Amino acid sequence: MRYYDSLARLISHFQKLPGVGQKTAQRLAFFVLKLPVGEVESFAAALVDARSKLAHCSQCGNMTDQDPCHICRDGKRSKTHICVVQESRDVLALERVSDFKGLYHVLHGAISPLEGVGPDELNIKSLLERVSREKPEEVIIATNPNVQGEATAMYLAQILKPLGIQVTRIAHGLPVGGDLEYADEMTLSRALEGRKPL
Amino acid sequence: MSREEKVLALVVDGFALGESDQVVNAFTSNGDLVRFVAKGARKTKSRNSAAVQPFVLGRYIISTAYSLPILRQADIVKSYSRIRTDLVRCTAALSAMELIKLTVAEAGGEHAAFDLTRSYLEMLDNHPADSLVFDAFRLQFLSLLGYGLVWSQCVLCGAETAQGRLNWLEGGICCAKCSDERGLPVAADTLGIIRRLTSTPLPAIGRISVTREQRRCCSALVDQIVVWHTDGKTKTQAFRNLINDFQQ
Repeated sequence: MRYYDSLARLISHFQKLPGVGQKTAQRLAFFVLKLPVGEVESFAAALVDARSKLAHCSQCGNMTDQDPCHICRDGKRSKTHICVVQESRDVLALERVSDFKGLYHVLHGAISPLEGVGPDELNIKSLLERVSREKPEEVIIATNPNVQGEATAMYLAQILKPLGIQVTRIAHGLPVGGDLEYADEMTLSRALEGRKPL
Repeated sequence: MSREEKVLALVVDGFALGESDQVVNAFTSNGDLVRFVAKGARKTKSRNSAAVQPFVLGRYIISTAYSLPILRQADIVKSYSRIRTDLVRCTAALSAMELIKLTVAEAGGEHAAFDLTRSYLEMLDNHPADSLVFDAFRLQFLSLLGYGLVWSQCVLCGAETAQGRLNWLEGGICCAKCSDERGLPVAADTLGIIRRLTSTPLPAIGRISVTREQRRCCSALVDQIVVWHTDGKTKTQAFRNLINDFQQ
């Protein structure tokens, strides 16, 4: 089916979004066409605004519209703990907990030898510089509990430990609300390894 | 015809699909590569997350009623946990998975290659990583898939030779009389070790005595062989070299 040029362009742009195919792109495009003009303008402006204003914090690599980011600027936060995460969205997830009052460092990915992603492709060099400069007491590695995340954690531990810094890994184990009988052997084994005295 | 398939397989790799799904490539006990979708596998509470991690050996029930098969049930047979907690072993295992991914066809049908891979992972899980065992695995694996090179004698004239040049196009080592300058020179000691690596079972490789330099030459040669057979598509070599340098 042939569309008007402007509609075809809109559909092709929606199709560039992750997980959006031809059909979903069409649905989204027709949804946008039903919106009031003011709302569409506001949506387009928000896209342009976010893209032009947001950048990476020069200290931690987190997404921010001011450099340094609000977390790095916050004087109440402890500089003795740095939590290393894979992506900016992981910072948002940890901030929701509000138990952690230290600083973050975003790697922008994880070491993935099968995809040719090594340490040079990640924000690791700046972590080393930051750790040497700020001398935190502890670096908490909160990469994902999969092979890539574990490889990244082990690599970071190898390069950070010689600097005399305590390197810790977030705990692995059972999700809250889950039944023990449904847990797989890897999760159970790690849950047992990471047990705590009561 | 059943629309469900039960397979014993090793997970080779995977990639994210959509919000929380994962596409998984697995090497089955029949020696084939299968691809399936593990729905919701990237969610924290998913029952299948651990079972679809690279180099997990598991029993998988796959529904083949769709164009891309869907994982229905997964049970871990062996997770090789010691490999996962050691960077050198983990890197070697990932390189082994990459070799499988780049060389095994969808319907390869070489179950001996699966058994060899399982044997290699067992060794890696129970002993520290040994580059010689890794080289032996790679040479024997390629040989099982029909990519073996002739090392025992000159591939052109059949004469016994202590050293020579590796001629890719002829498929093996060439003696001084037959080889031209294009082949890759292989020293006598390296050739001797390579011959033993191709014929010795993996658990007995530890008995082969080699110097550090001989070990380095062997690995460099096998690296080049793998690059040749995979059209230079290997990506894990750079990271493996980095980690090995780091250890030394």
